[in-house]
Amino acid sequence: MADDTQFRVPLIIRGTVIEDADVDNGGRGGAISFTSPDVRRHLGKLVLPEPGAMEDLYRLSMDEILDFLQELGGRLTLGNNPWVEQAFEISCRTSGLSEPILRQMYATMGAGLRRESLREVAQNAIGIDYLEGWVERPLEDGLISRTRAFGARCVHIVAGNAPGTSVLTIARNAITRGDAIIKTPSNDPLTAAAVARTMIDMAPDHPLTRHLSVAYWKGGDAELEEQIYRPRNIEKIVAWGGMASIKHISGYIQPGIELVALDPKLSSTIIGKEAFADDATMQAVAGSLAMDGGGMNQEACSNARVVWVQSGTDGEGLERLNRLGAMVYDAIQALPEGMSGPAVRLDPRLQEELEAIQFGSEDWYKVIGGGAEGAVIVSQMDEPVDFAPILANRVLNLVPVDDIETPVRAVTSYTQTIGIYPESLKHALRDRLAIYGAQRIVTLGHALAMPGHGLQDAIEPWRRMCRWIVEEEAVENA
Amino acid sequence: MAQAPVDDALDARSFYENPQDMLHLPVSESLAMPSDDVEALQLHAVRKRFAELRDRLPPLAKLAAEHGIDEIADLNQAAALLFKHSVYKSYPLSLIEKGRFDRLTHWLGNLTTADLSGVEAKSIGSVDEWLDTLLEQANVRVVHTTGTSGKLSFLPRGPDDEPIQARSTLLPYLRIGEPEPTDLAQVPVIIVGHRTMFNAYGAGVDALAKHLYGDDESMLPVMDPGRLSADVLSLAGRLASAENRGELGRSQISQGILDRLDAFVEAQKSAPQRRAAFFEDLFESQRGKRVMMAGNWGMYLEMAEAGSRLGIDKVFSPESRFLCSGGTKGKTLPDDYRERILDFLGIEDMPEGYGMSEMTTLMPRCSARKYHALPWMLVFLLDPRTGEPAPRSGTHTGRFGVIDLAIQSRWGGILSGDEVTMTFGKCACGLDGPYIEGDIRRFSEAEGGDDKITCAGAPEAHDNALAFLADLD
Repeated sequence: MADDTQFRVPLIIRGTVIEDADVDNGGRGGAISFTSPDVRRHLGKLVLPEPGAMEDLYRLSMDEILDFLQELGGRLTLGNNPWVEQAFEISCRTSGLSEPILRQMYATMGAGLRRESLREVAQNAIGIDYLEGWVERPLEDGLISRTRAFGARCVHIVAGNAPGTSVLTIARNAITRGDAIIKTPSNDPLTAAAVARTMIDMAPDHPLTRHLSVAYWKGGDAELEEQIYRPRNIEKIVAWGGMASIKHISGYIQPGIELVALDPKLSSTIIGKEAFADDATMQAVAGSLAMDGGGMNQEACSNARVVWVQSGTDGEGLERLNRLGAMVYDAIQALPEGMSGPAVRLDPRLQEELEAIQFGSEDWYKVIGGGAEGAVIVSQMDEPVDFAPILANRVLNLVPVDDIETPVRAVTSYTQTIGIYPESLKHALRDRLAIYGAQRIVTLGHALAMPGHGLQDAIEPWRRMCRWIVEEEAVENA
Repeated sequence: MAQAPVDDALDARSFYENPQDMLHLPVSESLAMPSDDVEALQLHAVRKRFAELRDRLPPLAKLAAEHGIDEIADLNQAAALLFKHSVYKSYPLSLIEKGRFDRLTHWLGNLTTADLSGVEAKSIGSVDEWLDTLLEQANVRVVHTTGTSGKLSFLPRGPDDEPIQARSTLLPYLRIGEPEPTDLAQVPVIIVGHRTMFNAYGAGVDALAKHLYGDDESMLPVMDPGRLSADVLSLAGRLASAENRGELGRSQISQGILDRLDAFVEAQKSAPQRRAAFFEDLFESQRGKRVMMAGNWGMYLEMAEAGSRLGIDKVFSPESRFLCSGGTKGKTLPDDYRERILDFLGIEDMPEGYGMSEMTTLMPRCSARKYHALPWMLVFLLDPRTGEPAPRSGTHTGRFGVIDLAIQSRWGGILSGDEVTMTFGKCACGLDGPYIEGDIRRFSEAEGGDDKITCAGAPEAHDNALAFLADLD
């Protein structure tokens, strides 16, 4: 697609692709511009006020669902799928991720739909028995309860910082037998549509294809959203990220509509004194930290930002920490280009803060690197920089501490992942970190992994996307 | 001071060496200087300022070294030497909570040529006390500003700059093409705010009180005789920063400060009544009199509404001097706010100026409704992405930056957060540029609301409860 061509984002409603260019979007502040159909004109078809239409999903077995997803995953590749190709192309313009990282992500996006991995997560997060039928449980008062997990009609407001969120949303919807309307963000308006179009090419009348819609409208369009977010149309809103977005959406919550909020989060790291055992250990720790902080260009909520290090805060301690900082900076520069690279778009606010501490506050902060390559800020006192919440573009802040309790008390409910070195420290701290607000506690170097336990941000999105229905049988005392 | 002497000693050569003397010229004369002359003067003056200050202000030396600038070759090269706002707030917020005002003083000392070594800062317990101490012990008036982050910037104004403060404050009241009034000392200035404020507004009020009115407080009808506390204003930022440091940070916020916030919030509840009572008294005491007032549109509208409730308008003499700057400060005002204000004041037009706390004075608006740079303001128009300055000819839109050559005790170079359209060339009013269009917006506005969603985010929402504090500055 030539540079001056406007991108065209379709509206996909249950297997039907609408490609009208009614509305011009974006184009502000260097953002791309694209056209989309006016969702208002198709509102009647977009929502599903008749729940009976979901019965077809219950004629599918879990095996059939997994088969479908496995086949879909095989088709989601770069090279022979024009829809994925196009989504990749537009992402190269909108994303904070570099082209090599995006290429890697789009080339492998289907891997998230592998049968074994989805079966594992469905089993761990929900229990396949509950998805497939009524699970019987006798209760102590003689009652027999039978529970089944049903799908829900959900609007999913997905994040645009990584294409995986769209694929994951579609997998969750299929496994739970839901009816999904995905509202795409302006920083990734095409990935969910690319998956939906691939499903249409593969099996246009399949129930899973028929229970997926993908729409772009400008988030916050109250006139439109009030029409959609009604209890007769939907049961749940699953909202990713975006402080303004979540706060806005919470205004539509009313009896009959539940919010599953995957709030915006930040992540951090705790490194114990064992990291300084010898040079080889320091190098290994620096390498792992570089992955947690620099992987995916630090665009994810699970990326490390503030790194608490038990180096000690005296002169020797600071010297140790400054050495580690230099190693981490080098390790970030050495990350493979499919995983990390120079910033695509520098955040000007962050750059100004960085410049200011370089010119005005050397006593407190030492800055290694800077600019598009990223930077390591080494605090020379036991506190992070005041602008820690906006760290991005591969900028880490190493903070020295004497007492490992200091970082524990810095955890809040906005802390998602904490990478820890060594393992023994993780076990020693995990209960207290959880009590303070941490939500995922991982081995250093593994912050970006997405294993199949199905948990996210201290909640169980898979289970919460289901409607848990119980049948009770009273046993007569005859 | 009030008479603004224009004697023969202030010749062009003296302006080359002492650009701050140009403040004493009549505004019309300043604006009438041909742009070629101004550019030659600015190049000489900026080289001189840079040479004087570089070795005394470490951040300037580092910035220059970073850009490999040893001597300024031409005007646009100096654009690389603009400070970001963040330089004036690069101190760790925790210093305040820990009461380390000695270290804060040391940090501030890097940004001014004033000697702060004699300041006794060890026993200071609050920002307000620190600001008072700097003024009393070193004659350094710190002007603070608040940003969206809630962290205060501290701009030091040293003793060398004190003498021009009153003139800086008066300049925007003077009118292009009219002789300067000689009796302004008899005209009271209305203050819609606190008597003690350490923002730019407050610095101007104090300078007028001292130099124009000879400390006759009756010439300063003021809405609130108390103090706009920097501690209270900074609390939103301090709480957010404490949040980053977790339990540790939260425990550092002193109960005394939190109590003051409570008292302040309580006082805010009765503010509407007190403000209404102030306007009523003001209309009574100043009826038919000449007054001066500087404010933003919101303040004037509040005054007009107070008048409308009392069923009165055109209270003040039509010879009064009003001045508006800062636009609407991001507030949504009714469509007809200008008409209502002009009707109430009984004036045809509201003089407006454009500027920042970091500048000596405002850029005045001409008959063609453009804001003109005064000759001591070396202005730049920068590409918002690359920071490269636009050529000094033609019209460009981008980020506004300025080196205010009239400032001596700190580096006058500052990059704004404003998107402006600037023309280097002749204006329709007949004067030379550079001048900027009336349509000015913050870059934060220009980039907001783009519907991008990411899962990585910060707890800025915590600040919302205290967001109203930012409006007070």
